[in-house]
Amino acid sequence: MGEESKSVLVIGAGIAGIQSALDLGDMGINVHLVEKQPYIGGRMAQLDKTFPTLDCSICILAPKLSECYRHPNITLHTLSEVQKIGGLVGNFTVDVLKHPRYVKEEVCTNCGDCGTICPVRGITNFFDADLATQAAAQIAFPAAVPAAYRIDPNKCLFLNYEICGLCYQNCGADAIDLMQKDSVLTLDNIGAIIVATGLDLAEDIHSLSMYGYQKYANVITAMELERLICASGPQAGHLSRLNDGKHPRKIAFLQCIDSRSHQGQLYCSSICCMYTTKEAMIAYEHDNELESYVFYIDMRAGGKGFQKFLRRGAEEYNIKYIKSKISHIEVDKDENPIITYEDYETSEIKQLTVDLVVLATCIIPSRGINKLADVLGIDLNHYDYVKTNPFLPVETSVGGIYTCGCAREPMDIPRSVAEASGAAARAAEVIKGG
Amino acid sequence: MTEVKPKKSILKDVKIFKNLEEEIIKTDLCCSCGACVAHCNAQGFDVIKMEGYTPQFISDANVENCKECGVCYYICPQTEPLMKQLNDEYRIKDELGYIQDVIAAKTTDEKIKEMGQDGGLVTTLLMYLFDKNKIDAVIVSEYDDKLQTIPKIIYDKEDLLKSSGTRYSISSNILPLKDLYNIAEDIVEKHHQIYDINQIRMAFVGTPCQCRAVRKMQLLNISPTHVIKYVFGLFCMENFDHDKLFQLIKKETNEEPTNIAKMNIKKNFFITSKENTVYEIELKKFDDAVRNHCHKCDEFTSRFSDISFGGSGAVQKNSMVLIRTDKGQDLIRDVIIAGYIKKFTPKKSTITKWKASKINLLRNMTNKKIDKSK
Repeated sequence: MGEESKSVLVIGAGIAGIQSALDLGDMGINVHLVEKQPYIGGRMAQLDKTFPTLDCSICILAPKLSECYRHPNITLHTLSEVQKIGGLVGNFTVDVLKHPRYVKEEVCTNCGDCGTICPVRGITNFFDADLATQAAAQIAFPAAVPAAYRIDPNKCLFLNYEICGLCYQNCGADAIDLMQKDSVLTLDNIGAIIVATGLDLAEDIHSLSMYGYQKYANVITAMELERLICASGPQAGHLSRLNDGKHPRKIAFLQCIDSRSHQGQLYCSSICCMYTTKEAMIAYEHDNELESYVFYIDMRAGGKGFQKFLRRGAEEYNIKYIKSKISHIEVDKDENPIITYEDYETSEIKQLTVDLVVLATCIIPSRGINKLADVLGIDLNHYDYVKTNPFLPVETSVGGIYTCGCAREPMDIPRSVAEASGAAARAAEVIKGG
Repeated sequence: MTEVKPKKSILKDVKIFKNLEEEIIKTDLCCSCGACVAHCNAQGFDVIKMEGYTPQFISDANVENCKECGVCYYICPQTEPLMKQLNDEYRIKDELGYIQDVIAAKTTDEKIKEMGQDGGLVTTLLMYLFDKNKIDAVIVSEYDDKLQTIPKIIYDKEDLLKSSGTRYSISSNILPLKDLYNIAEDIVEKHHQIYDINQIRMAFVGTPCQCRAVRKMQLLNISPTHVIKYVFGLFCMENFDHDKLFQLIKKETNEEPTNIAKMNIKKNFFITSKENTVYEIELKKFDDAVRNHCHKCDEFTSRFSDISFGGSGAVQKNSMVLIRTDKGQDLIRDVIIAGYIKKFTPKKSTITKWKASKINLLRNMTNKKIDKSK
């Protein structure tokens, strides 16, 4: 078997994994792209806009998604997990566990008839930060790739009780296959592996109860705001409060939620200062009478054009930055949040009543990373990010296994993409013989 | 769409509405909760309807429209499927079900005190849920002008008082949900915080059998009961057929249904006319009006509720409250703190004894009902 027939395994199909896969595919190298969700695109697909250009996130991402899906050198494995690995650099053997979609991916026409007739309702949609609901026959968002529905095995009446079967009855394309089972796919001759498992968010593991999150309807997370303000999101882009539907006129953004703290993560989440300013700008563009207050400890916006971005926020978008420490949040009788804080400029304790509080929650390592690290034999650092050498940022502790993006530390999209290309280049060296 | 496609199915031996009709409806075991019709209609299928208190095919022609999915048979509170899972889910091991706490309490609202049955608690709790914006609507029953009990979805707390107090003839409380997706537009228009009809939050008040149906449906996460967030159960010894009940009342008191102001069962049946004449009639005399399925029922205290309410065992002007879930516990705690209801507090030294005696009383009453059904 020639060197050229070796392929690369990319784990995680977020923006980083997709970029690596596309780079490698374009070099003529075969890529297996493994994703545990039913769709590719990861966290970036959930965002409304990206900083510092305020471009529509899905508009940049969608062409990459479909290119990835159509690319002759990329094989996509959704709903899949890496289960076992053997061999060494240049010749790994990998077992991939494929969970059933119960819908034939290549047959489904994405018409939605199964989702309409499915009697199961009210299942929260992770993609919409659990703010919207769907049926058991579901698709995360209209532009999802692969453009195929999926049946939630935990909620489906047929799979659990052997009744219903309405989706099967109703599907004009005969795409429903409720008899699918878990299967293990063995991939031989894998030359290199790229770990691009990305991130989860603090709210995925912590209740954030000290900020009244989930107790007060008008305290939401940044990701929730991102979905609410997104034109394809649950409120169709008309930002309104969750308790009474009123348009907020005063929004407070609370920085460093669960990061730089002994109660949460000790590290800086790196992107929150910027995404908060971005969100305040988008909200202002929806409503020019909006006032935003950013309660920050330190402004950390290291990046090309980032300082200018913050200045524009203050000058053109009515954002007031308050260097402060939050004490606590209460609500008044109309459920308007009241923030008690220490103003660092004057060392006074002050209060501010706003319409909506947005928590800038911090990036945490992907929750499956420990299990994956065990499978791959790679080291993690003490925060559970993939351990790398500062001067060889894409190399893990195992030869032939590379990493990029938020799998190794919190970073923004441009840096993730740059690192993804770096990891792809190192993987290509193994395949092509460096 | 004139083309008729042959039905394709992957199901084997699934019991469908025809079986439900044979096993439950024709044998007079149907409790008329309306779950089957509510689900089927909410699905947009043109198959069954409620004729009076009986679910049936809309017409012979509609039999063919049945998708044979089997969901109606599964969710019927009178059938066997799901009961084991349901008992596990709600930690039910005996005739009383799981009880986190038992208290007695009464409302502090003067208006409700007048209208309510015992402590006026259900109405007060609903009032609180509306006030604190924890629900958008509630399904209750109320009387029409002929004292026929009708189920109704209420969106405003101002309408609550009408449904205060007890009614002794059955109503199909799950049925109004059949129109959930038809009324969606109005609701979304009126309540701006609801942007997805699937996320409207409702409370449900019903008898043990109705609560059981709601919980069966919720176990499957199916429409339209996925919108119900709070289930308030009522103590229920038996329920009457409306027509038979009022025939008997007419016989005993010579009062027309339209001239009756209030009815109450406390060992005997008390009927108050609009002229304030109070009649006391032995309960036994109404045995013929009791619905058949009540004779087979083994529930008294609504085992599948978040909170159950009833007059039995409570001191004067209080209601007994059985708290069954964490959600129920949180709600009762909040309502007491907010001052909407006042808890009856026995002496500290006797509190354990008091609780045990109340549980014992309810257990005896339940067993009496079960014995009677045998």
